[in-house]
Amino acid sequence: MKTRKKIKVGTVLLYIIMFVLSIIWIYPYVWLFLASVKPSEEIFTRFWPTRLTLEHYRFIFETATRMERPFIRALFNSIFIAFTITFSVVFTSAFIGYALSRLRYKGRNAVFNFIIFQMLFPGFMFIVPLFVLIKNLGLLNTYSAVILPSLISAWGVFMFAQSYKAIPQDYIEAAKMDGASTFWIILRVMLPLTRSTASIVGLFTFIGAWDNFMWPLIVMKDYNKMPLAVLLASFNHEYGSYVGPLMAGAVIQTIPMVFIFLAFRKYFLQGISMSLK
Amino acid sequence: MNFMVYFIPMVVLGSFLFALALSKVRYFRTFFTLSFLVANVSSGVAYSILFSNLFSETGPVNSFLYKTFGFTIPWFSDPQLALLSIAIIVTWKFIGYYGLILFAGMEAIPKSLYEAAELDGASKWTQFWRITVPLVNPALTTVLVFAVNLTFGIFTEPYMITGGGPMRRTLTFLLHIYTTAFQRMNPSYAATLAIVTGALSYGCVILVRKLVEREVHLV
Repeated sequence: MKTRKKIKVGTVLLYIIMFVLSIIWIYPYVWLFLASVKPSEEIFTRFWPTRLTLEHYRFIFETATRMERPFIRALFNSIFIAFTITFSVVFTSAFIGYALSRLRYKGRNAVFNFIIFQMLFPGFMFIVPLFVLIKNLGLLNTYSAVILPSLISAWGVFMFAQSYKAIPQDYIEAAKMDGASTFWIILRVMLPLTRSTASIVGLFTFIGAWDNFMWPLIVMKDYNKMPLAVLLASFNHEYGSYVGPLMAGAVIQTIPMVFIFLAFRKYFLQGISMSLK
Repeated sequence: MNFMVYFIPMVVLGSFLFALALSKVRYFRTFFTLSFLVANVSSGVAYSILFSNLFSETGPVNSFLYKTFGFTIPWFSDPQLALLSIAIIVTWKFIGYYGLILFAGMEAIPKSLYEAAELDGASKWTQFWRITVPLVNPALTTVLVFAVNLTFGIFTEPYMITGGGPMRRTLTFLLHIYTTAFQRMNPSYAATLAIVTGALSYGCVILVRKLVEREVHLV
C-alpha cells in the first residue's frame, strides 16, 4: 500500500517537472513573439504587453527598406533559395539513388562507397576552396553562389538508395513489361513508393537551406540578394539597438520553420529515428 | 575546445534525462516532445538574436534574478561565462533532438528483459544500470558523435552573440577559420586550420567510438 502511494507521488512530480521544463523550453518563443508586438519601452520591463502594436513589423518592412535593408526582398530570396535547393535535392537524390541501387554497371559499388566516404568530411573543410572556386567562376554575389554548392546532397542520395532497396524488384519488372522507361519508373513507381523518404529528405534539406548562415554570409555582399538570415544578422550588427524590429525580423525568420515543423512533425520524428541506423 | 568540456556533458546528461522521463510518462507525451523539439527547428540567426536579448544586462533573465536573488550575471561579457552561456543556448536547442534519438533507442529494448529482471529481484536502479545503459549504447554513440561534430562545426551562435570575444574565449574553430580567411585575408592559413580541425574532429569521433561503442546483441 505504501509503495503504491510513493509511486503515485513520484509520477505526479515527474509530470509537474516535465510541464515546467516544457514551458521553460517554449518560453523564449513566447517572449520573442510578445516582444515583437509590444511597444519598444515595454520590451524589457513587462512580460504581458499593455497594448498590441504592429509598429515593429511596419518598421522592418518599410523603414528598413529605405535604410537599404530590403526585408521583403530578403524574405522572397530566402523562399526562392530554399525551394530551389529542396526541389533539386529531392529529384537528383531520387535519380542518383536509383542509379546506385538498381542499375547494374561496372564500378557501381566504387561510386557508392566514394559518396559515403565523401560524407565523412565535415563541410567546413571545403569552405576556402569552394569560395575560390565560386570566385573564379565569377559567381560571387549571385543567387547561384548560394544555391550551386547545395544542389546535390550525398545524404539525400544515400537515404534514397537505402529506401529503394526495400522495394521488390517485381514492381520494376512489371513496369518495364508495360513499356515504362527508366525515367518513368523513377517518377511514377519509385518516388511514390518512397514518399516518406522523399518527405524526410525534403524537410531536412529545406530547414538546412533556410537556416544556412555561414555560406551566404561569405559569398553574398549584395543587400538586395541576401537571404533573410544574413540580412537580419547584418541589421543586428549595425542597428542592434532597434530591439523591437529585430524581434519582428526574428519572428519572420522563425515562423515558417515552426509551421513546417508542426505540419510535418511525423516525418521529422521518422527522420530522427532513422538517423540511428 | 573549452566549449566541448561544457557542452558535451551537459547535452548528453540533459538529453538522457529527457529520454528517461519521456519513457516514464504516459500522457501528454506529444506535447512534451513537441515543446522540446520546437527549439531544434528554430533558425540559428533568429534565436541567437533572441538569446542575446534574453540574457542581456537588462534582459528578462537578469531582471528575474535581480528581483529574486538580488544579483545579475554578466552572461556574455565575462570570458568564462560567455562560453558557458553559449553552451547553455546550444544545449537548449539540441536536447530535444538528442533526447529523441536516445528515446528511440530505449523504446527498442524489449520489455521482456525488464520483466525477467523484475522476477529475478533486481531493483529499478540495477535494472537501469544493467539493462538500459548498456542496451542504449548505439543511440548513445550516435548522440556523442553528433555532439562532437557539432562542437567543431559551431559558427552562427558565437558569431552572432559574442563575435569571438571577450578575450577570444568564444572563438570556436569555425569562427577562427572564417575570420582568418575572410576578414584577415589569409586563406592559406585558414585552409591549414581547416585541415587540422578536420583531423581533430575525426580523431575525436574515433576516440568516442573506441571508448563508448560496444557490440550489442539483443537475443
